[in-house]
Amino acid sequence: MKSAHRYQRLTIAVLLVFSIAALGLSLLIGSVSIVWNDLISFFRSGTVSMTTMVVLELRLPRAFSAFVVGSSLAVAGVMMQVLLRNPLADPYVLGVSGGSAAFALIVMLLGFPFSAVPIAATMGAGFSIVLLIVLARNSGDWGSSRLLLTGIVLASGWGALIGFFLSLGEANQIQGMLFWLMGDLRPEWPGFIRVLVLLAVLIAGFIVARDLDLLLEGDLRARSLGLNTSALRLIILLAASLLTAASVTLAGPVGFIGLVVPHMMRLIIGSRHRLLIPVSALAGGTLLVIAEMIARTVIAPQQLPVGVITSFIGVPVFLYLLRRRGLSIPS
Amino acid sequence: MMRLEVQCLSLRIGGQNICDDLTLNVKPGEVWSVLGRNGVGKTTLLHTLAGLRDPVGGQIKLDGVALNSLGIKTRGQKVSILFQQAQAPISTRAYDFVMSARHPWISRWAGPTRDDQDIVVESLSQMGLEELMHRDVGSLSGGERRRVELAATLAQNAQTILLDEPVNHLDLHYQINLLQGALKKWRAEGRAVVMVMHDLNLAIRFSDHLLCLCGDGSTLQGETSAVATTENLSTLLRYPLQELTLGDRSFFIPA
Repeated sequence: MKSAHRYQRLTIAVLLVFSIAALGLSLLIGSVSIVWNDLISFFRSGTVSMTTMVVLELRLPRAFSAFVVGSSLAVAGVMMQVLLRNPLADPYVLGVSGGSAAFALIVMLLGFPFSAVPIAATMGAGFSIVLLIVLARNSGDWGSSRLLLTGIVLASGWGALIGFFLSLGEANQIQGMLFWLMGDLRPEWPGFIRVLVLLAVLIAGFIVARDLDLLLEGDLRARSLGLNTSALRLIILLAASLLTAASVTLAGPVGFIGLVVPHMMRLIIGSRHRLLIPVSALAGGTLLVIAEMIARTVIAPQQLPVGVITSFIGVPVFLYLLRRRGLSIPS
Repeated sequence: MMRLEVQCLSLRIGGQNICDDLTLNVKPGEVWSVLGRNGVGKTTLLHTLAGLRDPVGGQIKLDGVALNSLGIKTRGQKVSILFQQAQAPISTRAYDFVMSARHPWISRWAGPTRDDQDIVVESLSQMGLEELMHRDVGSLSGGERRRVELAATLAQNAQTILLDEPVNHLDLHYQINLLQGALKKWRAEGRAVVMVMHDLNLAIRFSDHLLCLCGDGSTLQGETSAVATTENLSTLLRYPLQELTLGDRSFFIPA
């Protein structure tokens, strides 16, 4: 047991180093590179050249946003996997991000005040998850094929709705919207509320970690062992919706982070949520910071939406998982 | 005092009448078997006794306290249920699976104590699972997994124990081991055991009382020696049976 603890601490330490390194690196790398001397003089005298200043002002908030979005999506993935008892659950694949984006877009285009957008995005995500639960529920258990098919159909439904509303938009808005829909990070700070949502879910996740472990063992067993599963489900639903909405309103529907990251982390540290949740948050953040860096540099000076990069990573992993696990819950 | 007390219980599932006005008193140290044909609602009855399902009418008491007035965690300390088939989790070690049966006893803030860990290890070793403790439950065979589930039942340490086909998938020596060893221990500790058994002769051999669900809502209950007659059992299973005697034990086989 001792060595297990050391291993866990080591994993967290390594991930912390990775995330800080990724954040640092993403400030330095880009179409305009920052010269080391500039940084050194910044730390010495607090002054930097104009270029460096501009670059930092653009890159720092974006890198930070990437981290928050990546963390949120990874944790949302973990939550949905518990809720649906399926390791393939992911906000993007199952159309939850799509629902969130569609609601946000509709509210925007209908001319509601801007403050209504995050609320609509949260409702869209929650509504999507509830739809999934209602439509894919199969005599008390979750069949993967049914869940995936339902999710994919819902996702394409949301996609059609989004397409409909997009075509009503004005031509000069369309490229921006299209980029946003592919998952795009702009040079913006993530905003206080999003960070707060993430921290709140991380803390709540820590408190109910053992309950989440138990819920994975099935509803009946969890109830027979003294767990109020309906209350816990509601908490998970709320957490997953808020996290999805927070990241969709900031960066659009970025795909596969919620699928790839928890899967990798389970392989490394096992499936106990007390550890899985914080570790997934760190790894998800790091992964998206790196993906964002790649998106900025691979065809520089042009930029790719970061969602394109995450899909390039996510699609093969998803197909591999699907092939290895087959279409049913292992029993 | 009764461990498990059932008063005027009525149960229905999908139009099927499982029992009407069932009254049942299980004393500490008694072992009951529930008998009946496929689909008469044995599992539903067990789930209801565990508080996982609301009856149409009637009341269930554990140690004199109404089941539905117990907090959900207290209920988990008082009654445990071994399911006929467990849902497999995404991935979990045998040790963690058994530890999760300690959930009703573990404080949210303090986490598992040394005692909890000792109980889990002891339960695993009673089921002969020391070697498999750190294996993923999903990688175990059906019988091994059943033993992990039984170890979890031991670890939960409830006074009322409900078992749905406990010897499913088990090798012969584990079947007899469990029924002889565990039941003897539970009897001595004053626990109450209600189990659903598929094998008529095992049920008769190892339980001191029988409860028969006839399928039309009526029931038949009593001490095993009084209930287990060729006539009763033939009617219950709707197939003629024949009694064979070997030493002082009776066996029932299809005629």
